[in-house]
Amino acid sequence: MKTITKIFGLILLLNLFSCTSFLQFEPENVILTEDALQTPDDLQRTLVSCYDVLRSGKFQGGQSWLLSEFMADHLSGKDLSGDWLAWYNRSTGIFNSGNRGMWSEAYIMIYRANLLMESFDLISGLSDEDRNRIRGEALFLRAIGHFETVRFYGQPYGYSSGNTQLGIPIRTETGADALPRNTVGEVYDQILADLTEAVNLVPESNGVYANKWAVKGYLAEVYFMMNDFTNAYAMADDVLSNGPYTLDSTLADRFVPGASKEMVFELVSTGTADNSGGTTMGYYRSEFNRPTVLISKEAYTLFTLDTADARMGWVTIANEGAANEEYYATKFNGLSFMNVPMVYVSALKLIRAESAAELGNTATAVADLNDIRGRAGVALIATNTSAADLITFVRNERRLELFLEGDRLWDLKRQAIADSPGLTIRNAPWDCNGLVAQIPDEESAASSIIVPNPEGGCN
Amino acid sequence: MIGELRKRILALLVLTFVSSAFIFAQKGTVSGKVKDENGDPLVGTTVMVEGTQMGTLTDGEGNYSIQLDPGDYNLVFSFVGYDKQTKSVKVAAGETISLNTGMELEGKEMDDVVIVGYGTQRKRDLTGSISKIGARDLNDIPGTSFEATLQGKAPGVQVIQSSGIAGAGAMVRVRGIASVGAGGDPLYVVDGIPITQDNFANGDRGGQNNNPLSSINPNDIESIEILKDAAATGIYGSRGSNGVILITTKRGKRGKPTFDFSTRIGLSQPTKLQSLLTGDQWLQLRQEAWENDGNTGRAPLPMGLTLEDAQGVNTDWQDKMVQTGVKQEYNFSMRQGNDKIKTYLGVSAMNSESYIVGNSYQRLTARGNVDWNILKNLRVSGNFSLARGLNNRVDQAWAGGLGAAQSTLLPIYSDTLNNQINPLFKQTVVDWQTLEYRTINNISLFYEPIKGLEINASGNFDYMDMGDDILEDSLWDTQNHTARAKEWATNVFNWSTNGYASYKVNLPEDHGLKIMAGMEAQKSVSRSEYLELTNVYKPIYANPSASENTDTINTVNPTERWSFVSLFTRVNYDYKKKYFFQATARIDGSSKFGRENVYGFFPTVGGGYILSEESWWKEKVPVINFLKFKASWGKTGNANIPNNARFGLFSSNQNNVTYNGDSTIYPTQLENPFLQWETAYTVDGGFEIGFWNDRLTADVTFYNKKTRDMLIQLKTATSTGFPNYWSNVGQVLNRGFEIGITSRNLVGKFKWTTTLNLSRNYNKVLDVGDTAPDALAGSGDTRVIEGQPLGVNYLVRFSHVDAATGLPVWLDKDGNETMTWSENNRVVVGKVLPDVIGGLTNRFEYKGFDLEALWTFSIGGNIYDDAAKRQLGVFTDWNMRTDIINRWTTPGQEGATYPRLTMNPGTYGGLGSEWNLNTTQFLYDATYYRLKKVSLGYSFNGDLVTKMHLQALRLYVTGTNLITITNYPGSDPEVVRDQNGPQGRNISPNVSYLTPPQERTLSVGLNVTF
Repeated sequence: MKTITKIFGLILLLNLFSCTSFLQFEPENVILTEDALQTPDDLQRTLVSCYDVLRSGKFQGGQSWLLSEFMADHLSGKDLSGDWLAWYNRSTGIFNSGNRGMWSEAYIMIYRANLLMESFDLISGLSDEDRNRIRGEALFLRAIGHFETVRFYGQPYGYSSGNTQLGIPIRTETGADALPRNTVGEVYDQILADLTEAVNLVPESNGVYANKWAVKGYLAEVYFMMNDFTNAYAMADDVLSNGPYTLDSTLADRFVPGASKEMVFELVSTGTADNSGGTTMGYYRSEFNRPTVLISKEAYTLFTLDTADARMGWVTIANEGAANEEYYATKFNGLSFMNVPMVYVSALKLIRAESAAELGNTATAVADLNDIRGRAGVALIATNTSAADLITFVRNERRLELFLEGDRLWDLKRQAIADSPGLTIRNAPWDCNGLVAQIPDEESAASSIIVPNPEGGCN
Repeated sequence: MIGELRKRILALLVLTFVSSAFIFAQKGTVSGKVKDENGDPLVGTTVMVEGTQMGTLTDGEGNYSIQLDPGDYNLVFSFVGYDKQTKSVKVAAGETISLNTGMELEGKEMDDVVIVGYGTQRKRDLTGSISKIGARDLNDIPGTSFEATLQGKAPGVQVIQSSGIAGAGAMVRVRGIASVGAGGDPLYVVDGIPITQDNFANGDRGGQNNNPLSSINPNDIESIEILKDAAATGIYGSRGSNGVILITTKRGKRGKPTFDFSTRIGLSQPTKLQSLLTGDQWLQLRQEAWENDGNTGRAPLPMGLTLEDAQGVNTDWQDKMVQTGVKQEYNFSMRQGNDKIKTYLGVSAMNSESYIVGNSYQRLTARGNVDWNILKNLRVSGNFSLARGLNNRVDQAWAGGLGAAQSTLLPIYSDTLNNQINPLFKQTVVDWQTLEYRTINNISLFYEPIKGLEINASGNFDYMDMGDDILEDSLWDTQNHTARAKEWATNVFNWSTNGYASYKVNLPEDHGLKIMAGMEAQKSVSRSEYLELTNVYKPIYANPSASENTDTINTVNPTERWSFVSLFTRVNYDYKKKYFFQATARIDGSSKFGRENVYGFFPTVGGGYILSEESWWKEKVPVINFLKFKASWGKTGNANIPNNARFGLFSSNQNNVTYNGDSTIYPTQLENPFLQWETAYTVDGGFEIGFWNDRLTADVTFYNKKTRDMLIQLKTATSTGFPNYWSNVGQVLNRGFEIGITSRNLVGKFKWTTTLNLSRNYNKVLDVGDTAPDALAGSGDTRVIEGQPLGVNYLVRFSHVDAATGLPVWLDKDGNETMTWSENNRVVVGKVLPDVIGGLTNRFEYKGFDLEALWTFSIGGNIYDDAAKRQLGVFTDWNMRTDIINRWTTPGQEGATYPRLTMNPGTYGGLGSEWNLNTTQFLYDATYYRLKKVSLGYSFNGDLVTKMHLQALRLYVTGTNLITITNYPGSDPEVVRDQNGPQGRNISPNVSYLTPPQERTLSVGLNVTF
């Protein structure tokens, strides 16, 4: 009997003693934040994760291009429904999943970039060289995050004097608090500050990751968007004149990993399962099935005006002459996986050409424009073409050369600000409310300090 | 104690002898004491003289006395929950015969003894709110798991069968909804084992949550206790705030072996199908929409179909997807026992087809429960169960199947369509099953070293292994023609051990004191992984051989662990069996909370007073034979959140996220080291009353439950880089009352009993911190908003169709008409929870016949039909309901129900997308009254049964969901959409999205005991 009592006692006691260790589980297959960033390698891997976000299908790997093209005039609204139709209709709304995804990816990248810059002191054995490089890349990535986002969620730079129109919250440090929206002017100031600092921190050469030329080339894009032609010209010219990049002789190499010689900064792919451009290919490719996204008749026609233009191969027509005639892009056909170009010689030449024309440097403008036209097999422009005509030619060339690469909407808005206040985009005034995307609910719900964008006005 | 009792009995006997000898010389007296299974007096036992109307009840001491003319009699002792006892006695004039008896707990209806968690109590002694449901009521709806059968049977307990899918679970809510982000389900405890009850182990793949309770055979269950208020659930401390459901399985009984065999065969049909457009109607309306949008010519058709292809096809896809499901069930069990060993063995086999083609749930179970009295005061008990549940899956709801037949499967498509959108095609080329093995076991020791001290210890083990397997033939992949085998494998180990001791303190007469104290530890470890093989032609569970071109994806998810360590105590004191007092306290330590808040303290107190025990009562108020008041207060908690919620986390390279082949790490979750329990403070008061010797009884309870520090995945602005983090925020109030009434209307040969239970719940969110409505969101625009009930429908108000243009007119936030769509015009227009729920049971017995009808009802609250925005809204590539015929067609047309047809959502005031058309047009009153069950049985009488060497034989017919009275025009007003997490389950259960309706079943059954 006593033995039994003892056994019971023992069982009960055993229960008691096991408590504290029993309760302290640390999760498996994940890393606690406090343990995560300790070595230079930890920093580097976190930095690489920023690029992985940048190339996400919700961001530069797909939606950033697609959704801006939906708002512009190169795509067809046929068979669209749901969130995509909302973009096409220029009524994005707070719940739009494309909207949510693009916004949050940009800021996830910005958060990681900020975290990197705040973590240097935690890392033992970090060389100054690495520290500078990582800070430079982080600044570059943060600037991309802000720039790609502010274009969608605020009226364009130059919309108001002083650019006091609302943009997006600037995030330059990590933190869980909601922040109000900054003005577009403030956001551009931050972008320029980040990029300008980054230029001096990143190395000349940095593998597939951002180097000095990438930052300068991106600066050219930003200045160009601001209609700051002097700086846009200077930056584009610096990269084109001093950087180790040359225009591809053929159009076929642009998206092919490892093939292009003109890529200053691109989002890379290593295989079909690691395809940075997979989302974009999925939208448009038409060699197997009818594509998910169709192009507009106007866009198709644009390519057929000059039968000598090799870029005619970027579009096709289906059911020609029938009631269900429709138009497909073929630009992304024939690739098993693709790189996503972000800064490259063709685009920089077009920036330099238009900036040069604006600045009266017609010789450079003609040369750059003819490089692009010549490669496509199109008749060259006469060297004595006027600056005003050159601007028109370059703008048209951008439509063709950068087709579906997510530039069209920004070009239209930029041009409207520069010299075409009456410009319309698919019959809607370029500055109608709906052409600015709504701040997604996931941002605005967390606090009352986010002012939503006005809606409607584009139909 | 015992000595005293003996003295008292002796004194009584002497007194009885003396008094009867002098006063009732002409008659004889039989008197004695009736004791329960613990040797305690059994108060209120009926003692009847067989063949007469004479009888009496035992008094507060368990004593009875009855005067009889000299002769031979049989005395029948009966007490609800105990086996009847018959004793013969010879009465002589002037003599007093002592006849004591001990009553044995009866297996089937131990109504009076209630399992309370770490012990039992007499129902009359309770200070808390506990509803008890016996075996008969638990097994009456075919093909479902046991929790569904609780519907309408206990006040304050809302049970909604989620859908008609085979193996689908029910949602159980005790006293409203008190949680937002943390699981709102009650804690399930089987024979003392807190079991694994995660509904989301499989997400909502295919539109269906897994049902962790489906592997328990309802036929093995003896009784279920539902612990509702703090006084009752407090002993489960941090886990009790949403109620506790205690499941007790059947055990062996003293006596020679008895065998039970039961079988049931039934048919299943949907309660309602939708009325959808035919192909020709659809073509006509599409053309109308096309032309309304300013187009000319023929409207283009999906999938490149021409008008000639489409005309006259008229496929009725619902008809193709629906069958008459056959359900079969076989149970065999054995109970036996002697003083040493008692055994229960049960095996069962069930195959339950739903009404959806290709969908069925098969279950095999075995259970053995053994009680072995090693010594008189030492008992070892073991419970062992093993179940195999095989779910033959088809996509459901929004994922396909019947849902597809009501949406994407257009009637202009031929049913031979060999295309991914055709579920029939899918069934021929995709094999999908979910196979679950479940074993729940424990071994426990009971030891009584000295009288009054009882020690219990047990070790428990619950293991669930679930494999969700899909085999896709190469025909399924229309692009690359690659065959794929996929498996999501999950297993959950759940160990627990507890030890507790109770001691009945020896106090002077009139005082009763029982103290219990114990401890418990529980640990759960779950592992899951995903495996995908390409170019194989066997499912993964069949170990397909890999060829050279097999690609493998293998994702091992982080192992999930959690644990609890608890100390608890309960003190029960009673005075004169009239005043009752109970206090409980539990300290819980949980791995889910940060170092600051590892331990939580959860106390409760309660008291009861049986007024009818007062000596003057019987004379003054003879009509009321029983009246008890009770009240309690307590603090309980909820810790049902993800295991790693408190940590700041980084991913590792586990999932092989690389860029340029370079590995990455990245932050995934914000930290909250201060995360702690969600806490509920409950005040409970009520009374139980019995009239005319319990011909009419009522149990009325009021409660006020305030939940504080709700565990919520608080939304952060996504520009922080994170969508949310776990935090303790806000307060919600649930206040209401519950009434349970049982009336034995007729008690003679023809018996008629009516049971009504009814509860009213008022729910209000008192505080949710500084968040906008969209921060706490569920599907179909349900929200949690301060000052409103928890779970409100937050929609744009639809006013009418403009007669001139046919366009919709809405109301803006201020109530002014507007024809511009804006999500900023959403307001609170409905709520998830009903006002009143209840059940009404009428039971008739005559000779061998029994007839029982159960009506359940739910009054108030709303249903949002989330699919209607496409079925009755924007004309898309979905089929539409025939209601759309009532659309606007011509200028000047007044009173159209639906606006002009359009294929462009922008037509409706600039609506961005058809998905956003969340308006009151599709919000309905959720009130329904449902004839949940009718059963008619016949129990064969003695002679026939004896001739066949049987003990009992019953045949019955049962129908379920036979009649539904509702204004809800959708599929079924009783709906819980399966969700992908607890928040959706808490705040949007009333949002229907192509959710398959309930089953209507008709079955015949046979029960044999021999």
